[in-house]
Formats: sequence, structure tokens, C-alpha cells
Amino acid sequence: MSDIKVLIVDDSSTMRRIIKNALQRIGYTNLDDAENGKIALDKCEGVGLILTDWNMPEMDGLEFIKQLRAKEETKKVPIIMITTEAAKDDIVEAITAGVNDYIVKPFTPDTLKEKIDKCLSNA
Amino acid sequence: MKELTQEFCNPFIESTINMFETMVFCTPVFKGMLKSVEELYPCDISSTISITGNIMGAVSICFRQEVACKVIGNMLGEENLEFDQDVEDGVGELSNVITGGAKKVFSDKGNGFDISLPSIVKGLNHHLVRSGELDYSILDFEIADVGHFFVQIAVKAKI
Repeated sequence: MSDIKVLIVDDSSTMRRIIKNALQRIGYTNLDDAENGKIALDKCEGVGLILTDWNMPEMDGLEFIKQLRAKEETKKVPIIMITTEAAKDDIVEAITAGVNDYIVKPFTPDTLKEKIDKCLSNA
Repeated sequence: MKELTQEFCNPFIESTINMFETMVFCTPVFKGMLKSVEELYPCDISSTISITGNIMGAVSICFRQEVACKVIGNMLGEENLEFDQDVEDGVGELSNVITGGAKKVFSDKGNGFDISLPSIVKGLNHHLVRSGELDYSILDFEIADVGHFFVQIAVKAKI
């Protein structure tokens, strides 16, 4: 069981529920979510891990990450991008913006757990 | 306007099967390419992703109501899902991931394209009509004990 606060950012409510269900099964109970980066920016207080999509209306994942990295209080929060954008250039762009790791949709719950464990152990 | 070849459509076929196996927990069987929209069962919900770049046009996934409910129910681990906003959102996400998977294959060959957010059409017994300017294909899939669904590709490729 982990009380680390995890923020899930995705414009698809289905994907948010899939990720929430997977996180709850591996012991994460302090979960919050947002449907785009703009809304998520107001939910980052005390957050210990962020899982964000790339393509979202209002504010996409890349801009969201850039804004987080520009702020003192969130510049070191672990961020994993979960997206369909799988081209090499996309991954390089996301890493340059400040993501710690990258998951390409579709993904299994095992992949999610593995990436989270790795990301938090390196944090 | 001409039919797209199966070689061109293979990234979409493989991406569809991969998405269903990984996140819907079932394996759809690719049954073949339909020659006309008249062969397609009417659909109750469809989601379209527009694509722009070296390949321009649209990719749509189309379901009957009962098939959509079972597929999205499987994704969410919930039974007896109503034909409501959850199903609409889930069908949109399916189209997003399937098109994104195909995009990677084309991008790796230097033929990348950008994809839009999904647009959902919901209405009993509808067909999607494509522009006559676009080449097209309708991919027929079947999930055992669930039913058929379709992926329509209507594009103009500069490759």
C-alpha cells in the first residue's frame, strides 16, 4: 500500500479509469485525475507522481510538463507520459520537455507497474 | 478513388489486433476487406480520427451498440455496460490508440502523419460516407461470441 499522491491526466475518462483501476490493484490509494493539463496544473500540490497523456484539448501533455518543470515546487516530480505518440522524434521531444519515462498505448497493467516502480526508485 | 491494398492497411490491422489483445483482453479475427459500404452492417456508434501529413484523410472504427458495450465493458472490467457516455469515450479512445499504432509504423518508414482528437457519431443504424476524392478500405473484424466491428480508412496518400 502506498500513500503517494498520483495524478492521472488524460482527456479520455475510459483511460483514466483503466489507469486508476490498475493503480488501485497495485496498492496506490491516493489518486486524483484531470482531463487536461490546464485543469491538472491546479491539482499538483503534494503530488508524488504524474501520469499524463500527450494529446488533450485546452492544454496538451507537452505544454503541461514544460509548465511543471518551470516551477520550483514541481520541477522534480516524477512524470510518466502515457500516449499513442510512439515515433522516435516524439519520445525525444517528451524527454527533452522533462518526462522521466514513457509508456506507449496500448499497455498492460504489468508495464504500468514496472515503469512506475522504476521511475519512483530513481526519484 | 480506388481501394487501398491490404499491404497499405496492414499497420491498421496489426494495430487493431494489438490494441484489443492488450487492453480489451480478446483477440479479434481479421475477416477481410469489404468492397463497399453497402456490405457494412449499419453502425450505432463510430469514432473518427482525422489524419494530416504524407497521408491525409480519416480512420474510423464502427460498432453495433451491443458490440461496443461488450468491448468497452471488457476494457473497464465491467459487465452490462449501458450504451452511454462511457461507451462513447471508450470507442473514441480505441480509435485514438489504433490510429496511433499505425502512425508509428508509417513514421518509421518516413511517412508520418498527425492525428486529431476523436469525433464520435452516435445514432442507430448509421453509415459513414467518405469523400469520393479519397482511396478507401473497410476492414472487417470479428470477435468470437461478441460480433463484428469495422475499421474504415479513407485517405489520400502522397507515398
